Amino acid sequence: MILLAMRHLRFHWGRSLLLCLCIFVIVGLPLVSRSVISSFESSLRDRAQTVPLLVGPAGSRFDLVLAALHWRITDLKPIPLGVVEEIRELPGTEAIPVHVRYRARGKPIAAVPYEYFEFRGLVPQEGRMIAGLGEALLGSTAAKELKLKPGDELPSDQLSSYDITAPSAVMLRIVGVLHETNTPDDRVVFVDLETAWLLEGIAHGHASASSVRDPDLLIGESEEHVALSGALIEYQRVDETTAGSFHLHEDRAELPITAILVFPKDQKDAALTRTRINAVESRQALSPINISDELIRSVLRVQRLVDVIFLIVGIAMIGLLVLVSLLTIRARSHEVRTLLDIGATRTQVSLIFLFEYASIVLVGIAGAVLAAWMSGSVSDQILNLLS
Amino acid sequence: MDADSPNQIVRFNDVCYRYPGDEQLELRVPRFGINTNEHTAITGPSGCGKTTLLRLLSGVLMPTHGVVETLGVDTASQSNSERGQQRIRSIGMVFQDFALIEYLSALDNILLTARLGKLDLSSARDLSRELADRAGIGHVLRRFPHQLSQGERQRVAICRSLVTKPKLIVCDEPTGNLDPSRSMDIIDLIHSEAQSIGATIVAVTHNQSVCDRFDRSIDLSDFASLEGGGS
Repeated sequence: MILLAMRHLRFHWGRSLLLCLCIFVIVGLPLVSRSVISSFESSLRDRAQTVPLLVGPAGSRFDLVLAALHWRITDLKPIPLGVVEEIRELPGTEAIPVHVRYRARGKPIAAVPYEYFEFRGLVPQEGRMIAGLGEALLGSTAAKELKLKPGDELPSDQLSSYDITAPSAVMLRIVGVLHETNTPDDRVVFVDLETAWLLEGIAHGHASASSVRDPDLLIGESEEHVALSGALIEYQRVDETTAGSFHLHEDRAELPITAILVFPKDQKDAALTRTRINAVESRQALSPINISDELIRSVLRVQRLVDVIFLIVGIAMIGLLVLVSLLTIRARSHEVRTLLDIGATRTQVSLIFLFEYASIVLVGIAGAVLAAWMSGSVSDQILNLLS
Repeated sequence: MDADSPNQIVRFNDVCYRYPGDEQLELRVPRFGINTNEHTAITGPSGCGKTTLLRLLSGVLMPTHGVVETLGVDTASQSNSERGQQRIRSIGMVFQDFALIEYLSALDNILLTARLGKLDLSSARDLSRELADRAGIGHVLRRFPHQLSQGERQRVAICRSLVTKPKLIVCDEPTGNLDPSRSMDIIDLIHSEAQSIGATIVAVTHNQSVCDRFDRSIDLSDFASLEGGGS
């Protein structure tokens, strides 16, 4: 009977495939959505649990957490680097500044100090750690997707092609590729904070002012100062010949960062830091795990609504499938009569239909489970696509 | 047509079959028998109950009352499953519309009865190929029914009816969908194969030329009557 059922499914492969797809959709959509959300939830919680306190600009709490912990580029205004020193005034409190505002070929550029790599346990599987300006260390996924290796170069994305006042793109030199961690760190391009300020246009490099003699570029000169024209072309690549010319024009305490990961010594220090930061209107200090839980609760509320929709659609589709199956059985009445006439029992005929529909349902469910399993491993990419 | 002869492969005794859906319409067969190895053609006008008679003698239908004995067994004494097994092992069925399964190849159609009866598939496969070669369809065994001509389809149906080496071959208008020249080929094929396995043929036909090839040709109205009915 199994053979007859299989032959029927194979002969009508298009119809069989369509029925399998219907089952796949009915079962797969809720499974995939649950798998993605479950993976999203654990990813969010795991990441948030490692950082007790997060300091950043006032604004969306969710954006701050997503930017500082998941390297999502947001519209949050930067805070000054000087806040890091304010936080460190409490003995035993550690603070790691991060900056994420730019991209390189679509990948976020995460500017962090060396302490961040120590904190996350990030070590290169190829090449070496960042040692200077313009150097970049790739997350494993970013390296695979961009097909880059140590020694290659990666230009940062130009913010605007039509705004000549915008900082120009910087050519980053890849010095290493990190081990895979299955965290958002895999998908980014790491640089040091000075390189981030270079991308901001705050730091720059150009030919020595004393060597500029072109009257179009030299606006004015005194014994103490030299005024150079904006037409002087700045270096876009940091290398051995240009590295010495790069410099900052701003007070270091005022340099922009996106957020600060704070590790207070104890609860008391955490409360003190939170109070101090929140006392300034333009800043906020928050507990990432609380914000993550809040975000998860919002997502779960949406999921419940989606589940109800899936349930209604599923019931409608099952009704349609039952109707199609009944019509198919009726359309095959001649075949059934032939089988009975030549000696098949009703049980045998029923088994043929049972095997057929069981096979379709099993293949559909197996596909759905496989899709759910696969979606769990690619949930980060799915969430990136949705964001 | 002596219903009391001990050499009968089919015997009807005071049989009445009432048609479902029309309780007034009934086929009555007071006494009727077919001797073993006496190939019999049953004729009669359309709608007189010929197909019903074949379905009664093969155990597909059960009489409302009376006794139908096929291969020495009262069909009413058998369960559905036993009657099915008897049809698979001892009765070959050939239908006017060929009744092939569209999604099975010619070879799988021939093997269908062997599969349903859980017979030895290896020997059934060998026999199927032999039968197909003799029937001139050895080269189309991998094709599906829609890829075959009418004549080829009927040959596949005949091979299917013979693969279990039945004692009785029941044919319902076996040449009804074929042209005259092919009809004679098909009848000759059934006869020669029945001869080789010692089977008795009972066929319903309208074709006088076909009737002439049988040992006996009888008109259903000579021994049965269809009574009542609204249509």
